[in-house]
Amino acid sequence: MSSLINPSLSHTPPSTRGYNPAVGVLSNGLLTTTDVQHAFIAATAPSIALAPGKRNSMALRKTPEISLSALIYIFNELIINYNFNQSSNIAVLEKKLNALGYPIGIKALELHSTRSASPAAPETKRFTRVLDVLQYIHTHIWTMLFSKTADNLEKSQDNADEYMIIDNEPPLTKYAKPPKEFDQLNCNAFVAGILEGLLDAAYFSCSVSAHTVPVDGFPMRTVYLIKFSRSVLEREFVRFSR
Amino acid sequence: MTIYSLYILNKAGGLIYQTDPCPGLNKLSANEYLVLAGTLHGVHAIASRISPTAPTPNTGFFGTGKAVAGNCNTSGLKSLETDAFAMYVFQTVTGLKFVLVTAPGTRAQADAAELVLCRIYECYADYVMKNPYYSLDMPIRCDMFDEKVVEVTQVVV
Amino acid sequence: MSKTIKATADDIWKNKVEKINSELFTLTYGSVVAQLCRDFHNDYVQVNAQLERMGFNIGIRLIEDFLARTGLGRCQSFKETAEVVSKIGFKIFLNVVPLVTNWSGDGKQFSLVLEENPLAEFVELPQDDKASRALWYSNVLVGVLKGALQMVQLEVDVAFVKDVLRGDDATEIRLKLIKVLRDEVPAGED
Repeated sequence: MSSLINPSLSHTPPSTRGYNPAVGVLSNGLLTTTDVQHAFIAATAPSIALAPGKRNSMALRKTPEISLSALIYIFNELIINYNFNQSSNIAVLEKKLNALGYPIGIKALELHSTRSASPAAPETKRFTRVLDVLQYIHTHIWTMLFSKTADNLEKSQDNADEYMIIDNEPPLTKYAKPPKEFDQLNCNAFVAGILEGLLDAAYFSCSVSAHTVPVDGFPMRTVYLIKFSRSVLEREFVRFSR
Repeated sequence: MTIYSLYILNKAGGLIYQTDPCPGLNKLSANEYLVLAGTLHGVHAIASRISPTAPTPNTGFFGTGKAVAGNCNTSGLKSLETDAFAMYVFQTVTGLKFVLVTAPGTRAQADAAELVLCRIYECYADYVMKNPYYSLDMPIRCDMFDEKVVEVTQVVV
Repeated sequence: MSKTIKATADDIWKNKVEKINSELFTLTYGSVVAQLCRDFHNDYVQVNAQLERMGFNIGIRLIEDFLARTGLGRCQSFKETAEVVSKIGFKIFLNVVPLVTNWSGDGKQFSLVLEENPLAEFVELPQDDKASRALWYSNVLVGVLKGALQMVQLEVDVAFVKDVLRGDDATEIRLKLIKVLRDEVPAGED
């Protein structure tokens, strides 16, 4: 059951070789695999543009801005509505949103590390410590995705395997709160999926969930709860305990 | 300018929002508010029919070179003044009406009212139109919009 | 005229629009197109239709944002509409300004040519011919344009005719004015 709720690379059958964008998130059990052969679209796969165009190297690409509204419209319509109508309850919807974000996280990691490499230092960096990768997300990934850093990074006092990244005003839910009958719903489950995909791809297997914890002036303040797999903590202990 | 009341009407004249930021008006029943909205919608339309027929200057962007602040209410009922209150009607190109009821004021108050209505239209675009749980043309029940309306209407002195 | 309109658009973009990196936008849209392709088992005709439906729902909401932010009144001609859609509409939402071109003789049809398309940065269609023949990857834009224009009482036919993703030399959207819905223009406007 937990593998249904928390799609994660670490739950994929051993026979699969990594994440296949043609298949999507296999592990959430929502998708049939019959169309693997003919599938589909490397829609968001980072790739070198071959079409005649201005840019042919993503490393050279500036990151132009667009309006936050455009992103929110797509998010609302394509994600919430589209999946809202097909989901029987909040857990199912959040699971789907998580699954939609997951492949984005994998790409975001690759994209960001490729871009940050320079001719002088072409090697991309790989993180080995939990705290390093979390700080990297808090600062760099957040800036890449949301044009700001996250507001806080905390470690759970009760559970050694739990960390929290906190965003006071998540951009995607800036303008709307779920109605009272769905007040448990936090559509930033999509962002949680991005984080989960990214961390899995960085070899920090975990599950991530989004929780609304409002404070004054920030009605949609969101806590992303990151729960690492035991193996990650064991590795950390073996490597760094001395 | 004391703002007593704000109404929002959809393009068919249905009341989709009503709030009283400042006390001062008597409350009506839910049904009476709907009738009031419908009547206002009708009177507005009829008023445009009795407007003088002389050609009015093109007020669009390309006529004047500047924006007209979104209010396309050029020949319908624009304002209503009584000894007890004043009412201002703002209509968008899409046919929405934003109606403000205030304490009576000078002529200059109409401009101030229009500015408030512009701000409320922006809030509507942000906090209602970008709320995925809201269905178009239905009564507006959006907490964050309520808060913004309070903010906008209370700031005005 | 076009100078004023550009200045107006730049001013709105600079002062009235909250901005964000385009990265997440591109990735999010891609994730959704990919999901639709899976959901419809690569029936690209259905994917196009679903993208257009979603775009329409966006368009009928987005128009209020556009009007409230710009304070623009009604356009006096379809030529004006073309200019406003490209130089202000595309600019303040997607930060690109498509070229308005290929006007038909009767002034009722024109094309928008996108040199840059934030929806499709770094996208490649699948290798199979089926996708490059049938899928209009950015078809959500068709729906957005239809929906937004319908709300200002313009019935317009919109369709992609070219897309660089398919190997065409440009990305081109064709708009055709069917009629002005005069009966639906709200009373009280001249």
